[in-house]
Amino acid sequence: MKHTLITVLICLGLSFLVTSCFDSDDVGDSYTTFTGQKIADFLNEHRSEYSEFIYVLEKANAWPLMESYGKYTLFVPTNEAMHAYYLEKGDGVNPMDIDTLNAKDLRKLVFYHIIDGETNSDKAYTTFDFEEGAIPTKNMVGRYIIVHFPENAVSTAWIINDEANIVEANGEMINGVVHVIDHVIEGNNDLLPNLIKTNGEYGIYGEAIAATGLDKKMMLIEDETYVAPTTLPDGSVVTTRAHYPEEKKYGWTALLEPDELLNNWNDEYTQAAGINGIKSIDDMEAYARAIYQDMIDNGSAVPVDLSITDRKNEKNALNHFVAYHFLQAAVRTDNFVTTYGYVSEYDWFERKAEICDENYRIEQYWPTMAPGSLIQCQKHNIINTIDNPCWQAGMANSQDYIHFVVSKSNKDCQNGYLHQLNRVMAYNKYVENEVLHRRLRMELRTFLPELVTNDVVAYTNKYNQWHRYIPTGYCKNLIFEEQRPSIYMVYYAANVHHYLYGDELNATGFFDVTFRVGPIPAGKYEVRFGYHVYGTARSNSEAGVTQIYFDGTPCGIPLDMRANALEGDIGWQQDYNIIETYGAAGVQLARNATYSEDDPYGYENDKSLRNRNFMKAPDSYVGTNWHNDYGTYFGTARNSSQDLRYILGTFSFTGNDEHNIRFVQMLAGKGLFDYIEFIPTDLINDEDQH
Amino acid sequence: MKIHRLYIVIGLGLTLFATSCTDRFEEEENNEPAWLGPNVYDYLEQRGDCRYFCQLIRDCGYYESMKRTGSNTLFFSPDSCFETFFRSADAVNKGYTSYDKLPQSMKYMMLRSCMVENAQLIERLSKTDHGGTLFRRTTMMELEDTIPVVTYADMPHNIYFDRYKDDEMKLLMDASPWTLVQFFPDVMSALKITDKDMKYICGDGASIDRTYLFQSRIVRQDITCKNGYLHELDRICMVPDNMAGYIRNENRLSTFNHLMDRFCEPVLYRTTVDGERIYELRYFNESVSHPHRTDIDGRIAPGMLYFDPGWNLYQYGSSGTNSNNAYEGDMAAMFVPTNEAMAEYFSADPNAEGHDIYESFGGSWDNVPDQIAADLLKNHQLSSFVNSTPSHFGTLKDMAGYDMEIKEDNIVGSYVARNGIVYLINKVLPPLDYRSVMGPVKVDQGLKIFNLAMGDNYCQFQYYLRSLKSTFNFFVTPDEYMKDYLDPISAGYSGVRMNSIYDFRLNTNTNTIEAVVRNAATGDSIGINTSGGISGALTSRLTDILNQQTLVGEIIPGQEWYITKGYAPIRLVWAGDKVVAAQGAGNASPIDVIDEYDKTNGATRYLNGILRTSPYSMYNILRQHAGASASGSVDDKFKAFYDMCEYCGLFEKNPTTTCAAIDYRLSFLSQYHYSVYIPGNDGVEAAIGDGIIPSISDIENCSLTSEEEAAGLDLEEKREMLRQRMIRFIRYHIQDYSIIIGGQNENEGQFLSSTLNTATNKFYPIYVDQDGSNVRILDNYNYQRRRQGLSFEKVDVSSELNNIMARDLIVNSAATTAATGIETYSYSVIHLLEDGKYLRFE
Repeated sequence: MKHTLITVLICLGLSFLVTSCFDSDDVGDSYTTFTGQKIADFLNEHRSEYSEFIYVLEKANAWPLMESYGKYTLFVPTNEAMHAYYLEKGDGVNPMDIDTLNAKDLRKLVFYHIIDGETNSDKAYTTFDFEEGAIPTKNMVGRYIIVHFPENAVSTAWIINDEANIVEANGEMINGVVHVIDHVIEGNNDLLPNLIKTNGEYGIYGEAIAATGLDKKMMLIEDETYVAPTTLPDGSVVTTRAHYPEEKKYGWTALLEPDELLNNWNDEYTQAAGINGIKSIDDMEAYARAIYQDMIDNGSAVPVDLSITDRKNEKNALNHFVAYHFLQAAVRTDNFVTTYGYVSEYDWFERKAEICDENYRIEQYWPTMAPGSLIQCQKHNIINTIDNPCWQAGMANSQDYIHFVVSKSNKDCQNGYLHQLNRVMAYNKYVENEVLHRRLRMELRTFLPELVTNDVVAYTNKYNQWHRYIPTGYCKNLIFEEQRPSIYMVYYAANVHHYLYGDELNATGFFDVTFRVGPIPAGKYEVRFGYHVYGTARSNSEAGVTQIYFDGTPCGIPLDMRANALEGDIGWQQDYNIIETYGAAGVQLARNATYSEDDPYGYENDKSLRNRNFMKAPDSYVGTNWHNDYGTYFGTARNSSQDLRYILGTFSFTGNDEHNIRFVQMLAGKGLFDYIEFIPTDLINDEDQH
Repeated sequence: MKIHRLYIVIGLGLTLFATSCTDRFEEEENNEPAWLGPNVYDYLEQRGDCRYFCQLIRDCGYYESMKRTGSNTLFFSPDSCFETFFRSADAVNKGYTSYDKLPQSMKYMMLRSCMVENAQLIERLSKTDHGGTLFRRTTMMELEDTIPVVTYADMPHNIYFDRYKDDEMKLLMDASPWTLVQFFPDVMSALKITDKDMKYICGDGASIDRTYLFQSRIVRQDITCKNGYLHELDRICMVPDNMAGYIRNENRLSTFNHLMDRFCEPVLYRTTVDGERIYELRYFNESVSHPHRTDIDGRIAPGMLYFDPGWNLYQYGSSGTNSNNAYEGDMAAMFVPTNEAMAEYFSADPNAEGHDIYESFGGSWDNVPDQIAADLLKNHQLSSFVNSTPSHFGTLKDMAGYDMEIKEDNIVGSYVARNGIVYLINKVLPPLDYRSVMGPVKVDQGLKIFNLAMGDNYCQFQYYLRSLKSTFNFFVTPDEYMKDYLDPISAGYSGVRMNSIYDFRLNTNTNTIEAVVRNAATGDSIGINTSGGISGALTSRLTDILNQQTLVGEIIPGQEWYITKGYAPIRLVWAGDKVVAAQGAGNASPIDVIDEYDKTNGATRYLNGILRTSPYSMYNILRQHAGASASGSVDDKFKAFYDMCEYCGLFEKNPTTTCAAIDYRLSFLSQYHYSVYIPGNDGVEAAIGDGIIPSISDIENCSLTSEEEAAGLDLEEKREMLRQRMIRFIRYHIQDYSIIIGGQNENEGQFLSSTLNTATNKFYPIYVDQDGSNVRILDNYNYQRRRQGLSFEKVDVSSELNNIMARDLIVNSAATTAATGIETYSYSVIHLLEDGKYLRFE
């Protein structure tokens, strides 16, 4: 009774507030904001063609969105498409009655077709903005829409989610863009294991993930216990567009060969296994055993025990082979290899010819669900090869290399993506001994799949637009205790600075942060840590003094991250070729650093830096701020005196294990954790500057 | 239910606001919902068990407000709570045994401190206006509602209060607003406070489902009246002391308080129109948000806490966030050892952790120097209550970054103050810096110069040395031996300042380091250097000393030579497995070790002098052996090598326009330590004879072949090519890392020379043996021959001229006479190669 009264009071109050102070006669034109055509106008004008979808829009109370200001991308199915959808969802005889859908399902159906650019600080997308893969902003049910451009298609004939064709594109309205499609898009609501099992092309893998129990490991969707903190850390300087991740979803990615490919596959290992193609999971196990036998015979520490017949044991050959095809992060193909910041990717960069030699690569690594293994991936999503697609033409389309079958990839579901491979991928002797026997430079976020799955990571320049605090316990490989007032971690999206991939992972205060990194193949490595020097002197630096431990061993005395690289303790010098070629602009890049005419390419300085356990940053990537701010077109991270590598020491690993790198503050301050490098010691003498 | 009530207020508010534009206000006015209670005052009166509180309202002049107007939030207590209070020891001590005996100031405090502006439910009280979590809030309490008048007996006893010995003083315990501390369910949930935490905070039985104001439970909340909300407490509504006040008044903490009293002083808050002075009590502290670093006389505080434990409006950060004022989301925490714990720590028992301090200062806390006392006290302060609750004890860090050694069973009591929580603990938490190699320096009052030099205002070495998992051998020099330091920078000065001697001393007034500068030859004083600060001239010298007196890593009994943190070579003198003396390359004789302490991260050894680096540059040493090429040389063993270096222009004076070498330096060396293998004159001759290098005269007198002419080469270009061959030969004789006879053993250790292999852009290696008596070198040419199964040879260094130490110093001015500090440097150890030998890279 009371509650009724309350409601009445509130309503009365609100109605008085509005009506009592305005003359109702004045309302008239004051609602007219737009002078052009809105999406709603467009739909009304073509009501006969889209009446079914309009009906659903209205029924789901989404029509006002189409009338309001915004930057919507609307995929509107034709009436034919809607009727086909009703039939598909019917009982086989009669079509589904849309009026029987509950409000939640109606909204899901409608909102799957709408991307709200305005709310996401983004735009409405025409097909000219599309790139193969996902549209960068999620739709209104939080899913990415995957677009694919078939060969020989006309310019706007993109395929949406592999379900629909755009039949009329780029209807630009004042509140967004309309694309007419010939099929309803609804995404897949399976979990990844079920998607694999029901897809039809992956019967062997469907059976294999059941036999190995890997399917059971991929049944989660979201950590419901996660509650995003609402209050930012006290005293944080980062408050603009900053918040904690809103959710903590689980995600996996499957990189699979279809049955047809497996059935006809023959290589040295099928021969060794005595099989003709991989036609069953028994064949697959025999194939895997041949691979691992070869590795073990050659001294590999791959964690596979051929005596284990229990397929659910992760040391079992089949289990390991299959698990190698799964990443513990939901990764679309367009985010599989990050190219942001690499010098080869910018037309304005003047020194491409100089830097992009046979050793220059865009190369990254993904840990998999198979213990002790990594996948190497290079530009154009080329997987596990010593060849260099940045140097060697034609690799992107060559069937000699492993890559995705684009039209069969980016199959999304509730907890991951399914991509199809064109060749059989395995963690074998070649991968371990040759592909991975090189400088493994890994951004620290490599080991934080939760950030990838939950879209904490942003791959394009969002300078000052994207800050995400990372709560304690959010990432299983990031161990730290957020502590008031100032110990916290925050991720900055890709931006204009000279950081690998352009993004930043920062900790502040008296932090004690441990990253679990790897796995790294057994061997002897020099290990390095890439970081940023804040400020121009100890006295004005935001950074602190940090004791670094690798696997519990202190790496020398604490590193003073405040230290200006130009001071004698570090002794950074600008490469003279930059000065010689670009004059004052070259000097400017590194705060008037010294240089030596006798050392034009900085080799002498590289050596002396190494003596003090430092290295310059690589020359393979660039911060766009020099280009934007100073009009310079040639400086790379190597030319920035604020970006350094610190050599942690030489370590021998007897197994393909994960490792702990721990940063403990001796003096509170800010630390930027960029990347870690593992270089086999036998390669140091021949190492390039990339 | 709560939400609906919130809506009432919103709804009513909106209704009133909206209708004010209409003529229906009167109509609405008398239509109150029947379920709205009476006004605040009437409610309390009608209950019948709130007579004292009603009286309080009347006595403080809030009758009208509580009865008719305003929108109020009031925390109140029924009569039974007042009765309990009147019987309490605290009230009896103060004479507050009945309501009539409460002074007016006390009444104001009791009422206003529990009044909050606007009508707010507990749920709404848990949020800031911006939606953030609101843990602490200010009240309507006026700062000057109550101003204690204290006599000397009640004042902290220290030099600052001694001035008021004979007077009474109006002394605010702090001049910032008081805050309420709200342990409300939504707050506790947001701050991740657990049931276990509440047990320690509010006592057994407390839980996060209940609602507490400080440690008082709210037994009935959200009582709705026409003009506000009431929340009923289970005890009298009294805002507790701040942390400092509690520690001062708690008998069990008197030892800790006695030490804390040293670090406070009265600061004038304001002078009334009657000329009366009101002071506030401030603690010296180094916080960012509310620092107090100098005393009333302008001197640096005798010691500083991390923050002022008396600051009511405590906040650690310098500003709030977009959702909070900084004080609203958190408060401080102090872990205060009981008197028993302090006595157990500071004891004659040799096993007591504070025994060394006890011994050093005659067993009296009063003798413990201020700095040590401040270090000890502040180590018990933590900036955040939220992060120091018992559920965080496993990962808690102290404010120096060390793991905090506290467990739940160390907590013997707690007190929620208005600006923080005080945990009473049964152990002392000593600053862990004292367990490191810095410990003896911090305790020993004979090492004040070194102690200051390590600190923030000078060299900031503490941040290296506090790494407890590293190993250091730290050589320290007591104040009395911080003399006769040959200033390396002064080698570039002129006149009486050249090669001056520094006698360091402490300025006790400013607590800074000074140096009396003397002329080396006459011993006469030529000035006092007082230039401190992290970029000051004295700091440059002190850093140099610390760098050469700090060895990183283990030392091996019997091994003589080591490279220090600053790359300087130092020699240790052993007696069995004990280091009895140390010697820098510039010391004429070893400096005795006069005391030694084993600490968690290494050893601290006292030296009765300062280690000196070599006063000679490589240029200088080459010239000493350059025969006719240099005046004053003692022999000509390096003549050919020196001549080549000179001819090739390898010595430079000004590496940049802003710095200069003292005399000259080899241009390609940087801040590191090197070995220089000098081929004797016959060795150079052999290299020329073998066609490895041209002679100087060959270069000077060269001519072009017909092919060279045809290729367009001119004579100067040819000379330059030949000169480069010579330079590459010279550079190959200089390697990274000082190989010292008697230093670290090497067995074909691979090092890089200074000659670049232009095919690979890598530097040619050198392979070295060192066994304590000799250095033997396998050059790259012979290394490659060996790999190919060909004959090869290794080259020994001369037994006559070896282990010669040099230091090339670059100072921070283009004119060495104007330099104030060291810019960079390199150390070298120089060995003459055996007769007729040279090193070959290809």
